[in-house]
Amino acid sequence: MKLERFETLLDLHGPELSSWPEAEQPSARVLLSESADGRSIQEDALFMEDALNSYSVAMPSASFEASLLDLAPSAPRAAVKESLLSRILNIRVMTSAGMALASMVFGVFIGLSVMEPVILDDEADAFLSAAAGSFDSEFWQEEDAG
Amino acid sequence: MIPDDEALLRRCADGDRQASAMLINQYSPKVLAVAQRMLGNREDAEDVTQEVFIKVFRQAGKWESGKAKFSTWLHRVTVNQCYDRLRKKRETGMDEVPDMADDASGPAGQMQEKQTEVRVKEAIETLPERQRAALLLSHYEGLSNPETAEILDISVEAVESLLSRARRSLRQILAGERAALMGRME
Repeated sequence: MKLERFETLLDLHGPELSSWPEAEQPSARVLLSESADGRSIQEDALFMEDALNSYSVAMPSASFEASLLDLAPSAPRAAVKESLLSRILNIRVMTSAGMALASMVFGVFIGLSVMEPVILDDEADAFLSAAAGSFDSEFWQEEDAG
Repeated sequence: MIPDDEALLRRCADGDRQASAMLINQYSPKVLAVAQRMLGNREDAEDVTQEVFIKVFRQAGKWESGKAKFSTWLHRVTVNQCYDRLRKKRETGMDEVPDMADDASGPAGQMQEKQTEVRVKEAIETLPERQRAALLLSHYEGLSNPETAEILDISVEAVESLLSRARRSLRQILAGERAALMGRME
């Protein structure tokens, strides 16, 4: 292998001969054993690889990442409302048994609400009778004053 | 389980802040690193990173499943944004303000490392843009030649040629640094 060919392959595949095509490796090893220029070129290439690794870049700061997050899309308002509502009602996880139970509780509540006026309260009944039977302005004034 | 990129993009588009934060956390270091090494300074690199993420969030809702790999697309957008910025700088004649190295204080080994880093940075900046991009994607991002070719929208052979020329230029530039280092060690 000539030095020019060695240099071309070195720039193409890097300084580690093990990463070269297998067919090229034996003649490259022969050249390195015989040529001081070849060895010098390989050492320059190894130094370059190490030197490249020394060029580090600092990670983005937390404040910079926060500024990037400010660019991200926000949830649409309707979606937020829907999400909140579904969280409150937990509609997705409500089972049919849960819905039946909820219906039953609601029905009992309505039933009690309707029944309540039927339960007579003597004091209230007397009050309503008095109010309906005779209108007395003093009575109302007392109530207002009270 | 870490969600895949496409799932994250869908969630970003729906306004899921947690998904956006995950995407930023995962990819902003890569975008920033490519941009900083392409442009040579932090301020421009941060500007480009913001521009890239604006595009990411715009694209999130339109992303077509299975059409392209997100990381490949992201690298392509990053490199193109860097090209644009470099072109604008050339057109406006603005000189780059290079990041200054820290004061040369501290142990000799650290000083030497810093000097080498500065020399590498300067050497990379002398490379033509396409060689620089190919080298950064290959060496620092660890991408294969076919991946680099897809990002730069060129053939694999063209990538090999760019890499080969970039390595030769850097090797020759940094050979002087190596000689100086050997001289200082003796």
